[in-house]
Amino acid sequence: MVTSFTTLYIEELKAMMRGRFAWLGAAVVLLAVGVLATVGTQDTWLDGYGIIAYCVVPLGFIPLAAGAIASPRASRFVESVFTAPVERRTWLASKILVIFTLAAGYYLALAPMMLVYTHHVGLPFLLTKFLIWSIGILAVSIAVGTLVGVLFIGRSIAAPTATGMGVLLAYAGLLPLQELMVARADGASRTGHLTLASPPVLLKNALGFTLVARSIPATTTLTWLCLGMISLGAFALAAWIFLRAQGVETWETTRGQRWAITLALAAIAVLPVALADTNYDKTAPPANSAPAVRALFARTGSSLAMAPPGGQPPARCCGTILNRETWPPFGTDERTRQDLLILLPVETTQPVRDLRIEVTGEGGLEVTTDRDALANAGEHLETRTYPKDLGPPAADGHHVVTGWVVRVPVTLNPTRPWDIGGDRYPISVKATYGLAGDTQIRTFSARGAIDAQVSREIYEMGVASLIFPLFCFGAALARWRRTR
Amino acid sequence: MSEAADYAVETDGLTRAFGRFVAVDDVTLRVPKGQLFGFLGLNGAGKTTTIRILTTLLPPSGGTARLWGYDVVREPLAVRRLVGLVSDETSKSQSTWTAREYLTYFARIRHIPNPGEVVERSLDDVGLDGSFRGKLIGTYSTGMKRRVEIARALMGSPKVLFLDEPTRGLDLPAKREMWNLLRRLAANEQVTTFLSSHDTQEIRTLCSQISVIAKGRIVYTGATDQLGADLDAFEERLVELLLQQRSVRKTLV
Repeated sequence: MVTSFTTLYIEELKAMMRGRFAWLGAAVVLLAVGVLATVGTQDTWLDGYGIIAYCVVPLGFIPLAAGAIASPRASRFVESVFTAPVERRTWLASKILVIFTLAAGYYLALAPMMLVYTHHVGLPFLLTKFLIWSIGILAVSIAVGTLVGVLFIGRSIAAPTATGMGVLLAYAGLLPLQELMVARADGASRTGHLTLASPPVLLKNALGFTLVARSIPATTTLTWLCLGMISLGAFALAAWIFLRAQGVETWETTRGQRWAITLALAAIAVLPVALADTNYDKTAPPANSAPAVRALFARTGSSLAMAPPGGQPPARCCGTILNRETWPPFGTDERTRQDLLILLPVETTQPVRDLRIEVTGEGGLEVTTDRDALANAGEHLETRTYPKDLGPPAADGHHVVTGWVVRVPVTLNPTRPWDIGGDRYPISVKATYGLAGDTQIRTFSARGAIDAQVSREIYEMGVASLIFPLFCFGAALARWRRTR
Repeated sequence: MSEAADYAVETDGLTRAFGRFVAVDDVTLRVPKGQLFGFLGLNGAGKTTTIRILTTLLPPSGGTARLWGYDVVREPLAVRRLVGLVSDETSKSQSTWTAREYLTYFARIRHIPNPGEVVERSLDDVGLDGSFRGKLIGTYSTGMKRRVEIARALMGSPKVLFLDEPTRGLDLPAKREMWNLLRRLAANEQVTTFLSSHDTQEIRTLCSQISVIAKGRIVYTGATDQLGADLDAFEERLVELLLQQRSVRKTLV
């Protein structure tokens, strides 16, 4: 009886997890991803954790697949397998399905963290795309890795694994390069074309999203075709080489086959570069519902500062993110009392009169001010002496040396978060005042932002991220105890 | 199975070249069923290549090879149902498995009923101590690994067992134990055993019929004791045959 596909698949799956570091390796990778997910709660989660967990780690399936396919030949295990009634095509198919199963396992292991995230902030556009992107990257990586694994017949898996790592690095490295080129409107330049050799880039373009660039290709047909060519082409070429151009452990190629393989490999590498869409004419959709924060990262400092009630302004005054030096950042859907310090561009030699202040939060930031405190703000002005030329510019252009500072007690409540960390809510201040001996009413405007994050998220994410690593550590420990 | 076939192993003009290098050159063999057949040759003579062709691991460049009447190129699956292969290389392949796991894998892919029982019985047959069966193969001695390999090769009751240097790397007691095991298997299981080795003592001890291969060509086929009455005469005659083949080769080149 010929070995059935199902039997071989189940046995190969079990065999895969008997590797010296299989369970332990899975545990370490998932733990690293989990730590990143947990730490990432303090920042814009998808920008850091998302790119690594949904793109870079899936690319790791290139060397993994290469090693998994090459290993039985390197260890000569195939000599035992193919002296049993096993068809080579069945074995290859089962082996590929085993790698797909591991990929599915990895994808599943990301679910708890993803669920914690969506529970708090819903499913933003970028995460929706990441979830599809990741599946595509896993599939392409397995295809390319299988091809790499098939190409190497030797007594060591170092060569296929190292080649797989090289391909991984190239694919991963081209991703930020493409974003940079597109951001500089050079997406269709020669270098811009070169970046399309990377399947994650192609898939990103095809799915119509960006990480930082502002534009995406207006058409995607050729991009999809190139993607199909890489993934299906790599699988088809790997299967053809394995079954028709190789023996169990030897190359059995004719001259024609050698040419066909060379040309096919070149086509997989070159055609996407030449053909995929590069008409970056369409505005990229926003990654999430974050408000546009204009001019926040301008080089000049802010004329605003924030301090605990009655406290001193931060030592490094004054950045545009008002609570940058506060740890932890403010919690979303929580009321936080702070003093907003407004650095008026007026020397203390000039008394201020008729001071009126208006503080507004944007993008879901609710700001409550004490009406009495606002009304009496002009009577409790503080002073601040600035280092040389670092004071705010006064009306006549000179930098204030010792200026007036208005302290406004505010209660901040950042609502409707769009990410679990790194939510930046704009805050605007408008003040009108007059100066003694001058009838003119002057207007002062300043903008800043506060940083907020979902509270307690770090603990939930920490627990969610431990589920699968602990399972894998348990399995590794159980196997070690059973077989020692 | 082709019971009508006269021989367990039958090759005609079997040839295998790797580029310009001819590893097996026009080899014709006849191995009767149920025999413990010796295949003797120096390192690099073409023994392993011949075995790899006969076990469907390597396609021949020319000639034909049949096992129990089945062609190794046209009917590889039928051939694989009939053969078991033990080499010193395969025994190193799965060091992170236990013997039980290793044999169960092959029992399952051969669809052997009650794999658990069969595995234990096989390990009993080759004399692997029960306390080691659940431990990783990587922790075994060379002799124990070779026993596991033989148990694996015997899974599915093969008709032809190919043993490629089965005692390489074994010390004398382990080697003699292995010989006893091979004799017992040949007697009890009625398996045709194709024993490839460069160890003249081993071949003389175990096999009554042999073929000698040198530089890819068969230089002798016949009864073992016809080459020499004792080991010394046997080896002297063998060296003579090998040198003859070397000079023939040089002349041809």
